[in-house]
Amino acid sequence: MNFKITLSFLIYIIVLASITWLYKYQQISPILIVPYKVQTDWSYEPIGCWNSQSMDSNLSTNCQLDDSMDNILLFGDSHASQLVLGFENLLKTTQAPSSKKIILLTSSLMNGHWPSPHFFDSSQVKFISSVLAETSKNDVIIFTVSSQHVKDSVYGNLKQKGRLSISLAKLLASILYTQPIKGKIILMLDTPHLKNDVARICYREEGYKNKLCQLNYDDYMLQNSYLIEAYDYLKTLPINPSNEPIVLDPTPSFCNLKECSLFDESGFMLIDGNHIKMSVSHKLVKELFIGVI
Amino acid sequence: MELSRIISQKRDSQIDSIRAFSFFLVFFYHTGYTEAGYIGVDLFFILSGYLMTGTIISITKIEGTKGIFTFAKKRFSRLIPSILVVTCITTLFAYLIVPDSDRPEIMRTAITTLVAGANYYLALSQDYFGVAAMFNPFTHMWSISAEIHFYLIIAILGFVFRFSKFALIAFVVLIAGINLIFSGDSSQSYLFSHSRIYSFFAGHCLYFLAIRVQLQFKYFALFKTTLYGLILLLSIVKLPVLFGTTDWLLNSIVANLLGFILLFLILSSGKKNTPLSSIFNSLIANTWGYVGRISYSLYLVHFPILSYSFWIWGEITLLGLFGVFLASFVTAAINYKFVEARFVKWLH
Repeated sequence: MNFKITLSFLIYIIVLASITWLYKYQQISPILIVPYKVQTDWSYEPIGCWNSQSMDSNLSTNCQLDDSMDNILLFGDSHASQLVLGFENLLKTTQAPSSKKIILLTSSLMNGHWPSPHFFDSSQVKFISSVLAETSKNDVIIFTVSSQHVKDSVYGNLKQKGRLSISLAKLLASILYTQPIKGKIILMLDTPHLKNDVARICYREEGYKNKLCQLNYDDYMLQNSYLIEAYDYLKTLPINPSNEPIVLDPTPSFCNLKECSLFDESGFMLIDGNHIKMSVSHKLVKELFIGVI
Repeated sequence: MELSRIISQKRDSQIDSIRAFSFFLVFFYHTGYTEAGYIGVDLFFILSGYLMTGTIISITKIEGTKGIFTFAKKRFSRLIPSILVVTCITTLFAYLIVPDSDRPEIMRTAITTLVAGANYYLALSQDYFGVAAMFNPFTHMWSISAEIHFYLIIAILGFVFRFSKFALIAFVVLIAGINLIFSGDSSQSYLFSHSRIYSFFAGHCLYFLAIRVQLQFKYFALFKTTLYGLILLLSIVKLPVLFGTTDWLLNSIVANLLGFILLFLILSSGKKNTPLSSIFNSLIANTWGYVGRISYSLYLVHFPILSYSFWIWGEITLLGLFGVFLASFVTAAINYKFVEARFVKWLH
């Protein structure tokens, strides 16, 4: 009898250990019987200067501020990257494209343990701060981030939301307020995201009818409320009144009154669960930034 | 001899009928065809509370406090093997079907399922009533984790305190206190063991009531059919919010009341005919009873099958619904025969 119980317990431990091992070390699927293909229209994937710098110790000239031009500096995560495509298109279609330079400082920002005091003192934060300190009056600094990256921000434990949004505000404060920055600071709210990567379902012709592909207004507001809280908290901190951040809200590009949709004339607007298509980026940047930059 | 009789006690066909009924309530809720079919879980909890109380009392009479090990062995030998098998296979399918970006969430739920913490993990990480819950094939494991917590609690109360009134009152006060401190939003309080234990205790009280009262009255079948009908209606119609944002609570409370009365009628009547056998022919009645017998396996397997169907097709048509049920039924029958029943036999 004892042997049977021991054997059962052993099997339990083996299964638990195996699944934990798979979770920790084997996150990439060796095979998907239903191939998952990102339905992307991005011409390329912009990579932030800080991210590419880790591979190559020399900062490329593309990442250096140009004194003879107005610099548009973006930092944040992949949601900042997706705007690069829109800005490139905007500059191509405006009359004086050569007068502006786009620099993507970071394309992933949200690594690390947020409440850790060392996070605010990380090499990434130092890098961003050092570049922003060199900006001039005509430069524009844009920050945007996916609230999805912060665990428990939207769908999770609401009791922790306040703490995390304050963490974001403190992070931004450590970048923006610990030194004089001349460039115009813009904080952007998040573009919509769905909880899961359902693009392969939503891209179908009849995808717009599918409940899983619909953007719920309240969910979208809840998603952004986390960032709004962080930005509001940021405003309560002592700052230079002449350089107060501007908050831009992309909601009107996706919602009309309380009706939201992730479908436009080109079909589903996302390439996965939370990144917008290149054509949507073009449209969004035109609508949001043309009066600001 | 007496103990082995308790362990292999004969199945009550009426209880199997309620199990089958409860499973279908949950199944139609998960497939999106009813608004409040989640009340099926309440019925499962009441049944569990009733059966566990009876089992503990029977074992205690023979083995005393030491019977806690027999009870643990009996319960875990039934629950754990199927959980292990379903978790392993569901995890493998996650590698075949789910994109890499969404798999970590599923894996975390799998691990918390194995350590009986899925309900607390899910309460803190996702909205049970949201669309996204369908994409996690382990979402339904919350109730299995809660059930394991209930077993542990009732085993302590039963074997250690012999269901003393003082211990029960102290426990109820403790639970009420925990509820007050950790009152969450609708999704969270739905999943927490401490906020759902009232169903289990309804079953516990039912046991003591049912062994004391014997009912004999004329319109027994009519009452039962009406109660089944009312519970069915309750699974379709969502009642208004009771307080706060807890919009599941009123349905759950009414389901507990109706379920309690239904079970009380059945258990105290002493009649052994299934309530549906008089309506359906014997083949259907037998199938219905079989669904009840394999309801634990069915509950375990139906949700991963449904969830992966959502991953592949995005939505479930009526034909798809039938396909999901058929696949669940076949898989559950295999699991019941080769895992659930066999392991219990092997261990004992």
